[in-house]
Amino acid sequence: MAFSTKVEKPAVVKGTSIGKYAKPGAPADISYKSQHVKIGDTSNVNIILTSSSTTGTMKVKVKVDKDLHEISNVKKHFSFDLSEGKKEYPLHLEVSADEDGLYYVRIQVAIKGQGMRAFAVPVYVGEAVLKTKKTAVEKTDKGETISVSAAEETITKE
Amino acid sequence: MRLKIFNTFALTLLLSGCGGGGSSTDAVIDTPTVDTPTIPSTGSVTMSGTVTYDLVPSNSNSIGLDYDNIRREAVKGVPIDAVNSSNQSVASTITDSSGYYSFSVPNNTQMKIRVSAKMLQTSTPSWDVKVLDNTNSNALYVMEGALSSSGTADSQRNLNAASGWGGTSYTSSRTAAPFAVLDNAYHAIQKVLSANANTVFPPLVMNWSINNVSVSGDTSLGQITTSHYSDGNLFILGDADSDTDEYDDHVVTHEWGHYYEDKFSRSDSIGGPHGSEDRLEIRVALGEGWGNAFSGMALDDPVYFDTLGIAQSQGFNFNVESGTSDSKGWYSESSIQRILYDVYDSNDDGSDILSLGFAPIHQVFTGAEKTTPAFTSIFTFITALKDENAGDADTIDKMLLSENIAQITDIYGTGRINRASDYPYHELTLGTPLAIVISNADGSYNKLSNRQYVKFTIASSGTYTIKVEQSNGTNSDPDFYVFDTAPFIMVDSSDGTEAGVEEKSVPLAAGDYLLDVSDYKNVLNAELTVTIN
Repeated sequence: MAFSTKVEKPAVVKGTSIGKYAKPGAPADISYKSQHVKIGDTSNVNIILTSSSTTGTMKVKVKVDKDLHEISNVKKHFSFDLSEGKKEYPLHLEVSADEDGLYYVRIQVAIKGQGMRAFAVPVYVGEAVLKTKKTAVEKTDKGETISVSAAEETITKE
Repeated sequence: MRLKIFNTFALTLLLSGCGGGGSSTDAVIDTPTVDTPTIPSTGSVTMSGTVTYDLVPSNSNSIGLDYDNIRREAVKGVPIDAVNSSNQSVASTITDSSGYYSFSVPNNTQMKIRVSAKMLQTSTPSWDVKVLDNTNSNALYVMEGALSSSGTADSQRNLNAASGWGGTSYTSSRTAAPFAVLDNAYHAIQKVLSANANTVFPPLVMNWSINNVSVSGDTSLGQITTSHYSDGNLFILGDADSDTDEYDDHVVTHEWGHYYEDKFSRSDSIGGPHGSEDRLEIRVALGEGWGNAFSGMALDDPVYFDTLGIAQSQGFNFNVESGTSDSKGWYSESSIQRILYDVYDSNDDGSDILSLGFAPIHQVFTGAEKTTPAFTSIFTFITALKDENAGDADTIDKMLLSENIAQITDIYGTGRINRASDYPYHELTLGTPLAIVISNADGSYNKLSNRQYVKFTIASSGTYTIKVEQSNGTNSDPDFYVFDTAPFIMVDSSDGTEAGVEEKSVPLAAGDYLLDVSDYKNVLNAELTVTIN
């Protein structure tokens, strides 16, 4: 089941985690730019990972949404040595899609002894419609909006 | 008679909601009336049962979730409604701490049990917590049983919220997740009530969705940055195979700890990324150390874990009591979480022979910490804790020393030995230039050397010019924020883009102030001169 939500369509999507609240985890940040493209066109996705840690290794895993095609051959698992001199770690991906949508490239980083952290980079294609699973909502007799799921139920009658 | 019913009614509702294939996501559908033979109700029967949810624990090594050992956990303190075929609630009650409920309902009446993911109590102590889908009309999560006649005799209806796990991935509704999220609030509330049984908890919305993903943007699309607290709202990740937090109970409780700071205490934290080995700006170090420590206190489990990755099979953990770090000190969230937890817990280890419990900690956070004229930090917390527990002051000092923190004697932490050159407080006399250094040596934005604080006193009300100018070049971009200290509030700021200098005339009443100075460009060593005239 998929409902659709119209989303704003920026020509270039920019974002960063720098300065945003972060739950406990690896001392890493992400900044990104991705191109909003037409169906079938290539979107250049540029990602920069940074860390305040200057020792150890940052292990990186990349996962692309299954409906997003990779044009460039991107390593899915790789690592960077963290050092005082090098504070930025760039990644470049080229992706496309056959359908409108808001897709994600997901990044997972780990620094030994300092935890892990997940990031997502949005990629807008065509009409940039977000496809997501949603449950239809209802109203209670008191007017409260509810999202109903079925319980596992056992009924015992005496 | 004992029969197990799969709730096909609610499933039918879901399918009918999707069947149109339309583009609207916010349509609210009316609950259809079910035509059933009605036998006039002439009396009542007792309906009772137990409500549970599937709790997915972490693996024994606290890395990844253990779907092979899902257990049923009581859904505590939530509203239960008996809802008839006309969508009217005909009876309601609240589950107890075992998830048990019981109420009298009309006999021979078609009804279903509805369990809401919220806790509401209006009499003191009071609370108002609900779990909503921020990507779906902010709808309250509920689970429902099937419509079935209440019959002519007492009966039991036990309901369980399933995890939706299908063996290698989630394959059906993750019904348990909102109840798992809510359970963390239950435990946190109980911990606070143990210190003050008459606490009035301000409303809290816990926003969880399977669409909540680790990117900043539109929260109605699930772009929540990460699990975090903001202005009466918790946002919790639900992005399967990347980062879900509904079963990462310490993560949720850590964020609840920020709600506590906001609503019951005061936090001057500026947020931002932080890790166990970071040397942090002191306000952030206390806030994050507190969040970690409180998760251990509320759950009575010192092992914090966060699961990530494919099938939630990876993750990391740390122990808020026995963990170690290479960057111990007054700027370390790790050091602070160990100190706070050691003050709380009854397990003596090393220099920790203190077992004060939660009440003295609550007393400090809801008392002195709220009005302290310094920025909130380990300095303000420990100063108040020692003042209020004078007989334990020596033991507290020993615990500090075990974390490379020299004795704390005042709210400003005067007398630092470890990283003394990065001690952030300075005193300024009006008309006399003050030299300070801002650096990126420990990282950017919220790290130890990124910020310096200037104390100054205004003797008479007027307009004063505050100027911060770089003396070793113009490659920096200084900014400053002005705080009145009584009551403690930010009264002005200046964050222009001119290279190497920041200047602003600010109206100030008589009193004591703090200036928070930073460098937006985050250069290696910006030597700055501060003047106030």
